[in-house]
Amino acid sequence: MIEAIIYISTLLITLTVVGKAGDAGYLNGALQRGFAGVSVQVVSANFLLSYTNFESFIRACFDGMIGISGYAFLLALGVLLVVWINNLYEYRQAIV
Amino acid sequence: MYVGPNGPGTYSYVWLNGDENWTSFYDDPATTADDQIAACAYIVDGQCVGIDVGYANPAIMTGGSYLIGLDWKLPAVSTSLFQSHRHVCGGLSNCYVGTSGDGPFAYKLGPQYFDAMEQNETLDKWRFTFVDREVNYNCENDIFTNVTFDGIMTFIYDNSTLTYPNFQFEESTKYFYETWDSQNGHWIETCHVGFDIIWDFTGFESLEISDFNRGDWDNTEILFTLDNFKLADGGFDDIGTTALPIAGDHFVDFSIEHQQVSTVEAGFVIKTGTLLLAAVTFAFALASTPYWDPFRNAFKGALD
Repeated sequence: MIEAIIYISTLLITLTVVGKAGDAGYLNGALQRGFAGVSVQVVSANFLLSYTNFESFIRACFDGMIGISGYAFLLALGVLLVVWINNLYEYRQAIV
Repeated sequence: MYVGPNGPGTYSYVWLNGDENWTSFYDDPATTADDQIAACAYIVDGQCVGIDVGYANPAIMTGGSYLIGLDWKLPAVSTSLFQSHRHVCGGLSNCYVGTSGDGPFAYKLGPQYFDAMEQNETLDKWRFTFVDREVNYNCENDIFTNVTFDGIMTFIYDNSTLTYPNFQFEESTKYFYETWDSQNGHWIETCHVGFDIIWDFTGFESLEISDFNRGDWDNTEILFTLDNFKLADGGFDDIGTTALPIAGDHFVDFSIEHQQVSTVEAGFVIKTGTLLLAAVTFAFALASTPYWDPFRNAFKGALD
């Protein structure tokens, strides 16, 4: 569940980065976009999972160890993901 | 007085050894007096500065220190634990119990090991040092190598357990220290088979531990397991023949150092920080919509 949140977040970030790069005239080939997308996704997911406490932080929020602040953060994170997914559907990029 | 599982004075014992529970053979070796327990010391900037610092810090240790015997050459006051093999000859065919190999090796420690920990505070990190004191080697000896292994830490309090199963360690088996040669006026390098491992808990885990035992270290036990020992360089040597401080049929010197954190301070910082993070995340979500662009608004004059 928690890893899924992280992967979804990094996927949305990846789509935004690749989309913005495409808009700016870079990564015109499908191969380039695919390679850049996979690279960004792998690096950002590994960074969050391995080199930061992000996973244990979210887990602590879910478990109620950080109290109402933790739930507030989860709510804000949920809103952010919903907005990004909606943006992706409406505007073909997460951040508009 | 804390009474261990096998009667008074049993502060520690081997719980598992090579998948076998040999507890009855590995009861507390000799430590019954309080000063023989591996009392904790504080870690500050990587150095032990806790109790008995006068002779416990290897940087200022002299030859006279090991006349005390148990307060030997480790960073903190130390005690002895049994190594992997135990010579018992109690109806056994080969007189030995225990196995070598890649583990698991598990020890259970009573609350005497946490004497110096402040009540009502929680744990930030522990450093456990294991040294086979009986033989020292030239520091360039090939007996020393790098090993990787896994660690599991279980806290036991009020008949409940809290387990952290995902520690991973990579350590050199060379335990290096210097002693002062007062006759010749220089430091002497000495190396033993040993390693120290640091159990570093995240801030959230520290809060969880605090919530679990309410900072009552006088009544908390731990069970820790070291398992899956492997040679770090992937060599062809059998880990069963690799010199490890916990492998053998005598004792391993063992000490604990700790670093604590106030649950009130930690809780305040984490909860306040999380609240700020929630606000920033929410603002970021809003800024991701077309209805609010803080960057464009901030630089409106400059951009126009």
